[in-house]
Amino acid sequence: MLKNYLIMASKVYWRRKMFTAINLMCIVLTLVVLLVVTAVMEHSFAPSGVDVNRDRIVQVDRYIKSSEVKQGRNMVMMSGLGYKLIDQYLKPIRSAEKLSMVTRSFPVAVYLDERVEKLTMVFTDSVFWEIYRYQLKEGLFFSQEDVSQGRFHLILNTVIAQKLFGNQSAVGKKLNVRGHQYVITAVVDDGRGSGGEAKMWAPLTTMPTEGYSESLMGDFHAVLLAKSAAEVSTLKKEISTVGKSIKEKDPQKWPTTMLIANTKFDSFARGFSSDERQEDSGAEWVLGSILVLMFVFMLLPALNLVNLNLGRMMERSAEIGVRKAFGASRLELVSQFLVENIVLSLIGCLMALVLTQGFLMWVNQSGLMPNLKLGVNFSVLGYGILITIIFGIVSGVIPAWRMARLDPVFALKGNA
Amino acid sequence: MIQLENVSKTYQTDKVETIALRDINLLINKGEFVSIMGPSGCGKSTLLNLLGLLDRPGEGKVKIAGEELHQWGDKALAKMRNKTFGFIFQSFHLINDLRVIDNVELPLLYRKTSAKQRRELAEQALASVGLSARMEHYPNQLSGGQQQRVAIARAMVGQPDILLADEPTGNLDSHMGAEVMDILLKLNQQGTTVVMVTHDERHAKQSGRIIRVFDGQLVA
Repeated sequence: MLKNYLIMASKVYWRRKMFTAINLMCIVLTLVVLLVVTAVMEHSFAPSGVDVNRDRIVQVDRYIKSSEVKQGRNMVMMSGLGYKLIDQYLKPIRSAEKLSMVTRSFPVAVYLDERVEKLTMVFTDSVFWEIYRYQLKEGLFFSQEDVSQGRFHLILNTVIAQKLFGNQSAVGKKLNVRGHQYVITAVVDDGRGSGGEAKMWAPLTTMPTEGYSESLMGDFHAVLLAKSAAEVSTLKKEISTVGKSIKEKDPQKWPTTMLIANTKFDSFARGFSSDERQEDSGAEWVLGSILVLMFVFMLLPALNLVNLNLGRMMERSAEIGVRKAFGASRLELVSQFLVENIVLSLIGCLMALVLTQGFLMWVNQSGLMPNLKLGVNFSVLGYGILITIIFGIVSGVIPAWRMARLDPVFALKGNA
Repeated sequence: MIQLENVSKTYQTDKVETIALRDINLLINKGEFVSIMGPSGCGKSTLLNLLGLLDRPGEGKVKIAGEELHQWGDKALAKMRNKTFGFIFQSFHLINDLRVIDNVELPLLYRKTSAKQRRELAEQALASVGLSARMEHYPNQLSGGQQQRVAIARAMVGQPDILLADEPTGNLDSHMGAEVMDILLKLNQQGTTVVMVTHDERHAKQSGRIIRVFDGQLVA
């Protein structure tokens, strides 16, 4: 019987080409957009490459202190974190498995063979290389001892290494940066390909500024690694508590202190907020809005599909009557329409999958973004197929079931 | 063969109650050709629908070959319709999405018949109504007379005991109507019981018995 249903379905699709095409277009367009959007979101927020621990990383990058409110006004100061603040307040945090201190990127000029190259330099510690998984192309990462001894070691990314030394090995060579002679100890691939930023890293103890370790405010941010993704919220709470307990030199002037802790998604969500001094990033609101938008985006073509199917079912009321008159039972009729709808939905899903794969492959290879690796999320595809089939059943099979329940004479007259 | 005992049928639409049939007692014997006549809206089609199990009576009993069907469920009624009846409708009710051959095969889909056997039987039925050349066409590519002949082929392909025809010549010109009548008479001669609703006195007179309905009651 299933074979008959399939043959029947193919005949109906073929005869009703316009209906079939519109139906498929609704399914395919909705699923392709859904899959592409989720692929982009997954690429942006899910752990991968260097950011393999992305779902466990919390970055504390802003320290805010405010004075008492007097006559409705107060003074607020916002800056990066100082070494002292991280060392004294964040290092003792228990729910963090690891903590690394990283400065912002400093623009530097490097002189080599009468050439001047403008690069960016970051100062950090040895834990940085444990949290972020840079691929070592040659040499060794600097160790805890290198940092504590203040050794002028330098790690380059492949972009700089290529720029400065071509295909020669960079390790062991020397570079004069800001008046200091650094020795290159490693070259790493930061996963951004040749279009990425030219970047290099040095031990934070080689920072040219004196007294960096004495201030609560500074050019650092702290990268904390939670023990698991599930413990990120606990870690954020602990950071928030610690932030409120920071003691300024003049606590009467600055009675209120705060630290801003962000996951990758929090940083994205803050882009939608006008007040960057809020502790809450608004991530839940942004995520909720994205989900609602995606739902509405899926709902519109789905409703169109339901409407189209309902109209089509009304048209086929006489067919149901005829089939009943010639011996089709209720179950047989419903099975036929079920097969018609499910097969059409599955064809649509398959087309959507092929189109999405093709589109993502094209985007990945187009070089629009360096080292972009977008892929189909198969659980989203699964949910998409499920929703499509549910809408197919609701719009096609339920009216058929209602008509099949009637005595044939009513279906023949189209009185469903 | 088919027996109606004290059958009444009432339709309820909003606040208006319409009595379509009132206290009908009727026996149709095996091999008969019966015509049902009467003015429009008198209940002829309702009577035919009740005879063919397309509708249920409000009161009374419908018996097929002595079996009372009042309590039968959907599946049993479907099986009975498939095995016992063939239907011909005034407006043909062919499925436009399907080819002529597929339309004719339709009653055989709901019984245990192989695809090959279905095809053979459908081809035979189409040959008997002179439409072998139109098997691969779609209904809307045929004339009204041809469509009604396809409908007859579909009604007879399962070799039913009873053929029920609701104004089978109603949408056809006199020439085509005569052709359709010839086919029905031939089937009746081969042993099929035929019950036909018609407005056409000439066609009714070709049948063995005329039943007249007026205001939901049998008058002769």
